Amino acid sequence: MKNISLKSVYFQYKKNPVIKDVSLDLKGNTCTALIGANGSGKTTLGKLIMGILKPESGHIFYDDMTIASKSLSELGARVGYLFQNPSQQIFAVTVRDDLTFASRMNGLKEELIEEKLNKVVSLFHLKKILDSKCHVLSQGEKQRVALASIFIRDPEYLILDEPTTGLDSVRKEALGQVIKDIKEEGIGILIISHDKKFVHNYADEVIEMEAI
Amino acid sequence: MKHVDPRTKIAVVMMISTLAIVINQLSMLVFLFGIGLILAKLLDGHFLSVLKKVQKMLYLLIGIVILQSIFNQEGTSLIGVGSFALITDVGLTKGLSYLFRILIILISGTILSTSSEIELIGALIKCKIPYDFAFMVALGIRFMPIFMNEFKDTIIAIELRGVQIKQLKLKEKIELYSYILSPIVIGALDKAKKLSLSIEMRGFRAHHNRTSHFQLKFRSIDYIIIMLSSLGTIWVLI
Repeated sequence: MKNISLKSVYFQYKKNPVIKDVSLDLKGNTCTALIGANGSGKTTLGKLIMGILKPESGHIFYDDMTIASKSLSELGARVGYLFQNPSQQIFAVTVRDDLTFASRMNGLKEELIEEKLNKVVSLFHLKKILDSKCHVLSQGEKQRVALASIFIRDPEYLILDEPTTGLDSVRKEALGQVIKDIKEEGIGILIISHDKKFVHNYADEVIEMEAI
Repeated sequence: MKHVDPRTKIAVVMMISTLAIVINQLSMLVFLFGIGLILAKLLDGHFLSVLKKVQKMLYLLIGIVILQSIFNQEGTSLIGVGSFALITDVGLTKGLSYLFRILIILISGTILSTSSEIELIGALIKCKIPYDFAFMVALGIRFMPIFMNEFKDTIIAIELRGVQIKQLKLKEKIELYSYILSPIVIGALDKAKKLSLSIEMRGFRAHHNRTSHFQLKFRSIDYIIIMLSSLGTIWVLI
């Protein structure tokens, strides 16, 4: 079970403080939700935890190790991060290429790649679009591909920024079920969302952020 | 100097860029680079950030200089393997000239970036360029940073999937970049398509005669800059 903790984290964009003295403990096997108005710093906090942004002061620990000493790829290999905009996450030509990209680059065996691929394809209903070109997908399809690209790597912790954007009610429910299942496996999840109904249905704790 | 007419900036950039292509002497290219830096500084161009970005591509640039040098066997050998001259003095000079040409064009580009899109469009229209073309040129300048950001985002997305790009071998890195290049280009074209749809929906080209409240006026400083730049260009060309 992997935990994430933030100690007095401070961050500003061009001298405008966005995150001020935030301390937080995110436990494994717990689904925590961050809600709040636009500009309250939810996405910024997610990016700070992932090491995409660096805090001005304070410390962020992943499993008792400071993330400042970790590279993006080291952290990315362990923590799955869903971007707010799925187009930012998908970069290969076809859905199949995108889902198997990291496994191939990291030299996984073909049979194992295929097994993992089949698992996420069925989980996120991607069979029909598996060989489609990524740039022709709808927003909802892109969101499912982006989610699958994270789950295929068996992450130890998950940060999902607006995971329900573009998903219909059936697929939202399916995503909720996936969240429940992986939580039972001891994986912690941080959901950043405006979807209060989804958050209240699936999150164990809800943290509301306020704009500074 | 900060309120120079955009037409003056366009003229200066055209002269510097033309000279960078025409000149073959390394010493003159270095001199032109110096002039470009001074002008960019006087016109408040963000040349330091451009130089920092160039610094990140240092290995690529050194590679280009060496390749230019290898394929040019004229002159005295400086570094060689047996009888084969790897780097000659003439080859090295040509490689460095190529490097300075790139730097001059990049630095002169920062002069244009000190004007807003509206100013640039206004300036091009005053130069009798049709509005549609002027708009596209200004949009193209705006599009470059978007394209660069797209590339940066893709690299972050790849790293977040646990791929250690820095530890890849050169061959693997080349494969990776060629792999992601086409989706980035497709993404950029897609953005351009959406942008053109968006501007059409806001009434772009709905009326033939466009007017603008924006006024461009040549001042004495503009005449002085254009005169000095023209004289300098003619002197170098002759």
